[in-house]
Amino acid sequence: MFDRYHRTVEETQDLDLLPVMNLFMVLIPFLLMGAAFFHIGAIPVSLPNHTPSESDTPTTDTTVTLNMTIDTDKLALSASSSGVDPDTLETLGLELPMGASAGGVDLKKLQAHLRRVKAGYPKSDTVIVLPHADLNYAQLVAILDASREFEAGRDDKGDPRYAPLFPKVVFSRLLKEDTASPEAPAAAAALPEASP
Amino acid sequence: MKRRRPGGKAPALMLTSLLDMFTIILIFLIVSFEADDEKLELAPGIELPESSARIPLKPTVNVAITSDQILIENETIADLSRYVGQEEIPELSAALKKIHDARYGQPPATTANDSADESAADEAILVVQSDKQIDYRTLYMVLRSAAQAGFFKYRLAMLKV
Repeated sequence: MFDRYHRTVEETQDLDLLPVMNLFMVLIPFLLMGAAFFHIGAIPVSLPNHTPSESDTPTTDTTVTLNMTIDTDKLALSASSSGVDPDTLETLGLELPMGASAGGVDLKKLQAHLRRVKAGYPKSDTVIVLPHADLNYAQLVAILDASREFEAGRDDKGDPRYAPLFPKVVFSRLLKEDTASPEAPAAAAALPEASP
Repeated sequence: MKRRRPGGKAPALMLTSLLDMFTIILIFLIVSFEADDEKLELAPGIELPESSARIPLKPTVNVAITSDQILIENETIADLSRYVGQEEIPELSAALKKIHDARYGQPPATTANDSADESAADEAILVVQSDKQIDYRTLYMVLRSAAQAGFFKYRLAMLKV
């Protein structure tokens, strides 16, 4: 009789969870302060500089610098290099029509072409971007994403592995010969503008 | 008539379900906790574009471009409507030059054109947060103004996807 009563009392006893709750109440505000609900990344860019000791065109024959001109109706890609003959450089060019897609242009075609250029000149890493003045920032970022790197398979954990294409981005401005536009005084077309 | 519990003990709170909930919240917070990430304070009214960029931000000077204003560290510097068709923003250049000179000293005579090289710890780098709807004209105007102040390298802040 007594044993049965004692067993019943033991069975109904709960764990004392209050210390655990106290611990949680301290941990949760602390972790809330450090939690990152969105992650910020960065795209490194620069403006062209005029430095007398340096040249914009590469000095070795293994690299090319790409010039990406983004106009309202087309994206034109051309290559420059001091060590590659003009006929070869001509083959590295590309023109794509600007459409209504995310980047305004067929990004897969653009990336495929850039991968071919990168395969031919693996040490090349610089692209000079010359967008038109009204180009939307989100469109520009989509184009930069396609030209900076590409997905080169998966790692052991199944996460995507990226390989660089042209990660060095130099922003410049497209100058047109149209004198009617207030921000485009008479100047040579599609030349990178040297920053002061 | 009220029935009294045998022994007269007050009923204990059932904390098990609450504890379950807290455990889930705790696990979620531990997973999303990243001590290395730079806590960038986003300027109000800015919707960053999404990008596959994975380079982390480092603490430096923040310039924000909203649809109508330029802000440095969330303080309004210039009204964009006053600079339509302009090449530069003198107020922005002056404010950034003050910050640059205070943090990094006088601007160097020559600067490297290498945007990926971050070997110099005290390099003047500007973080630019821009709304995804702004046009390139505005962005370039801000970058040019920053170049006048001695900032030649920039990090465009993006939402990682």
